[in-house]
Amino acid sequence: MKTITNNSRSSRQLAILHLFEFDMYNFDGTFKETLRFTDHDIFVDYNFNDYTPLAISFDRLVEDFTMSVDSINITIDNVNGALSSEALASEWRNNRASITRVSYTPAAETIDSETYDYGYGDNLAGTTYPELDLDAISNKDVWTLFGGVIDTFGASESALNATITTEFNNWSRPFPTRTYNQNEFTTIVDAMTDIIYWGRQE
Amino acid sequence: MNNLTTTLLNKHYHIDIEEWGKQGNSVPFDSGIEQRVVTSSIPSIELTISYNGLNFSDYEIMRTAYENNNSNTFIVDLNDSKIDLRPDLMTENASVWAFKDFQFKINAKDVLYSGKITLVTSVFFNFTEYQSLFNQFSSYIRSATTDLSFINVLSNAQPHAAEFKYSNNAIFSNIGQSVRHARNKGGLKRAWTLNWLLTESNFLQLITFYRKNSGIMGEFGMPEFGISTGYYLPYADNDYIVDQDDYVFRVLSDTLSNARFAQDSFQYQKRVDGLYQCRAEILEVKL
Repeated sequence: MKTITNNSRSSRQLAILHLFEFDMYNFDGTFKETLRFTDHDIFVDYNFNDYTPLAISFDRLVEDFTMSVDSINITIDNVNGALSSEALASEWRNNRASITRVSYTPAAETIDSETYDYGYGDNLAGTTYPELDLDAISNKDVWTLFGGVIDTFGASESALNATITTEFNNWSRPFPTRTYNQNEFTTIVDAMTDIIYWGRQE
Repeated sequence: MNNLTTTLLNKHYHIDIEEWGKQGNSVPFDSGIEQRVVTSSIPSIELTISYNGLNFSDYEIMRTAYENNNSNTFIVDLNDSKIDLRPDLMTENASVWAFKDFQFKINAKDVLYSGKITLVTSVFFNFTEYQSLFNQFSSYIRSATTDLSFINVLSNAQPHAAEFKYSNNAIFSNIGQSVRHARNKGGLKRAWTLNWLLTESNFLQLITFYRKNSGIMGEFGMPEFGISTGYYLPYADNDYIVDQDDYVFRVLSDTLSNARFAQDSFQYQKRVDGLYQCRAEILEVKL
């Protein structure tokens, strides 16, 4: 539900950031961890979770009333190589991915006895490292921009690209696009009726 | 994380600064009210620090600082001048930068180095929470040689000016105007541009050497230029480089770099006074 309340809408200055969550599973199907990123320039703390700042961009979202499958491409900074090594060590595909949009009014801030109406930085005094504490900001709206599963991903030296699809995808197609080895199924009927999740079977 | 505050600011004479505040855009409503939408919240700054009158050992300090930190972030603390507000917003550990550009030049007029380096802010802060997430490092391995073929030509065809920069194939990502990550790819190379004004006989030696070694056809030993301590050549008493006797010296104490001509073509001018004027780009190559 995208309801922008007067919390932030009535203010003339609105800051927007996005929170990204990707569930990662081990290849044996057990849950491994949830990766949390943000496109903000410092760490963001929300609901007691830390979101790591990374250069992330995603396609423009298009909505309509047809029941077509919506998918968007996400590009995540992979310059440090950490993500591609993570991607190779665990399973991304067909696991939960979400994009959350947060709009908020930056709090006033005083630096060197000068007051900035809308905080010049977003550092929290007293913390050991720069982090935006969203929980402490009352003038904010948080809504899920996109929820779905990761369908495919690919990594290059500078970026990791993923296609995430809405869960509508599962209505018409119970598994993500992939090429199956026929040896996995003894009969065609097995292959048609079995619901395959990447790297694990449920 | 290295602290280059003293190294980079010790002998500078000027700083050009560009600061970006919060970045974003504004959305006009039907009522005419504009709502400002901001994204980044940490100020971004680009500093161009200028230097003049450096001797070779001063330049060598700058060169070493660049080579050792070409693909990583480092601290330069400008806290006293309040140019960089990040120390006030956070702590002094937030004064983190990365190299964007490095260029120096030496000419026969004073045989001293002038140049500039450009730094951009980084959001890869010097906090354990950040540093424990990602590794970063820089490397530079000098490609040394003992080949004297080019030196023998330069002893007659002496350049009157030399420019220095680097070819860096590290990759960087950014958030807003600030550097986020850098990955060292081990390909840092020195690059030179030499400028000559030569008599015909000396020029013919140079063009012959180029014909033999142009492009990818040859590699040779490339010297650095400048004055070693206690060794100084007075500049000839004229305002412009018109005399083929004005030249910069090779630094004898520095080892040669293995290099080749960067261009497949060589441009030169023949002047009415019979002198030849030309320049060439030379790039270090790994052995």
